[in-house]
Amino acid sequence: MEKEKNQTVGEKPFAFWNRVYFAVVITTIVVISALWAFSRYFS
Amino acid sequence: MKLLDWIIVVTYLVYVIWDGIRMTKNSNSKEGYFLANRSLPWWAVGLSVMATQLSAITLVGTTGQAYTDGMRFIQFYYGLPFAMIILCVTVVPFFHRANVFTAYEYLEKRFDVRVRTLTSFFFLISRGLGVGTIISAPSIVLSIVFGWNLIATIFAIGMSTTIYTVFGGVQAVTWTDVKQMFIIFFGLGVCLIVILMGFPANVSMLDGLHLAGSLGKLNTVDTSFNLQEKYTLWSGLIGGLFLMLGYFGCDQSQVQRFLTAKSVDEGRTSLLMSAFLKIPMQFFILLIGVLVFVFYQFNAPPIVFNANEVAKAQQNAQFQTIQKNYETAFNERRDAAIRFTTESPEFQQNYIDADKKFNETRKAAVQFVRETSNKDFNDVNYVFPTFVLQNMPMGIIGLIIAAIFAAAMSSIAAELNALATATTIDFYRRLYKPEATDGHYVAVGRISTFIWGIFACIVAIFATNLGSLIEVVNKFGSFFYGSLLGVFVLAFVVKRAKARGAFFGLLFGSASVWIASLYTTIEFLWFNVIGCLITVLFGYFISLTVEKNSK
Repeated sequence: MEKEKNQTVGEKPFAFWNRVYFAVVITTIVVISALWAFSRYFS
Repeated sequence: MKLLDWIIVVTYLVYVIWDGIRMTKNSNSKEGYFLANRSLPWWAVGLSVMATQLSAITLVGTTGQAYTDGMRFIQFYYGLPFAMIILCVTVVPFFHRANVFTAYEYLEKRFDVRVRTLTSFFFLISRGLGVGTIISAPSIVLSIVFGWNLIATIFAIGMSTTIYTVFGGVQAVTWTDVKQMFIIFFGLGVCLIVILMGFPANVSMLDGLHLAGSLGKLNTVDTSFNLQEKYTLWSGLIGGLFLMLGYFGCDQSQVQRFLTAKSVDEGRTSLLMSAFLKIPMQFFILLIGVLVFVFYQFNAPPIVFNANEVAKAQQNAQFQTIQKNYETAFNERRDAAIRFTTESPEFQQNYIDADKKFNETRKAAVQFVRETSNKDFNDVNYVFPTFVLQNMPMGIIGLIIAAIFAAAMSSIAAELNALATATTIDFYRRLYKPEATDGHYVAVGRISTFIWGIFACIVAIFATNLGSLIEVVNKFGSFFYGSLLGVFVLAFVVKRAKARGAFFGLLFGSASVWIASLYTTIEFLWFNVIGCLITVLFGYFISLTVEKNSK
């Protein structure tokens, strides 16, 4: 209820943003892992 | 530099100034001048956020750092995506809905005018001096490498940016940032192609990366937990997280970027653009530095990249012997590199040994230069411009110089605009003239921008003579971000926090970082964590001494 109150009309729902934030976290983990693999491959 | 290079640089400067000035017609109201009427699309704001962070010295210094130290620096950015998520959940909607012009204006609504004024004052001092160093650092490098007049270079960068920022306000800043980002990456892309073309015919980019990797230049993840080590996974994730929260969430030069977005959603998306792109972007810039390093495995690098220092050292006869040893060591390393890449991986150890020997001779040369000319000299920032001047074809040099100018100007413009906004809104309007027309505040904003521009150029001139000033200013920035972040944490998270707690918490937080910097060897990224925690703790406990229902 509190969350819904804080959300302005026209904004995308919280569920949408939670999925985006989750995608950012996963992408960052994948990118850091890829960089680690890159270092290992060329070392 | 040839005539074509000059034409490219001058055309770029004239175009940017004209492009910024033509935004004047949209900047006649207070909302228009300082916040672009909150009308900008997410992608423009997002590019502006990244352009503001990417200063010339970041561009030149990062490539130089990759050349000398490899890719370890990338870990500095590992906390950024997580910081962006936290800011999207907290700061972006708070500031948008509060309808504020500056981040510090919000603090008055939450606490009182003292907290607002103190935080805004901290921002003006640290950023006012910081923008001077943003101008001076690339000016020193460019003037030495290209033989330009130092003061003319400072004013070319500083005043051209001031002119379009004065007239066009935040709209000019944002839209020129967008174009400048394209110029920077077009310039770097061309640079990458030219570097690869400079490799021997039988050496590919992958071979080059194997060479760099053998010497540990491609290490991007260091899992050791050591507070004295500058760049590790943990300093990046934890210290970097606090630094990025402080920089993107509490520094007006960044806050003002997402306040110009059309809506909360667009503001969030603009920050998340950095969350997705910043690490790959830094990887690309560092990769260029590493490839410059590979280029110099096959082409003799200067013994020291700063030509002025070499000229002084060359007057000494002993330098000739050092130079001869250096050339021999280089030839041995080049042969070992060619054998390793073209004959067999078994030659890897030979190559590593040859590089060790080469580094020893270079270390001796650098030590000699320090003793004979300047003990404080730092070669890192001279690597990339010297490489460009000595190895790039006509026209490309001009393009890369335009890209370095673009990187400098995109940061300076945002800083000047933010300084003018804080001066006008937090001081002039709040403390001196609360009721005036929009036109009046826009005029004050323009005058403030101009004065800050002149001030920045003067600081830049002094900073060139006082090398340690740059260090002082950078440290002052670190004192500021953690503590300021602490005040905003108190405002957003700690319901019990009161104005007195926030005010004294900020002072204690800054003092604690100062003490940590004087009496410990902790690296600067951790200062942000210390400053924030001390501010929150002291702020909370001091708030307990204030009656619950009072402000």
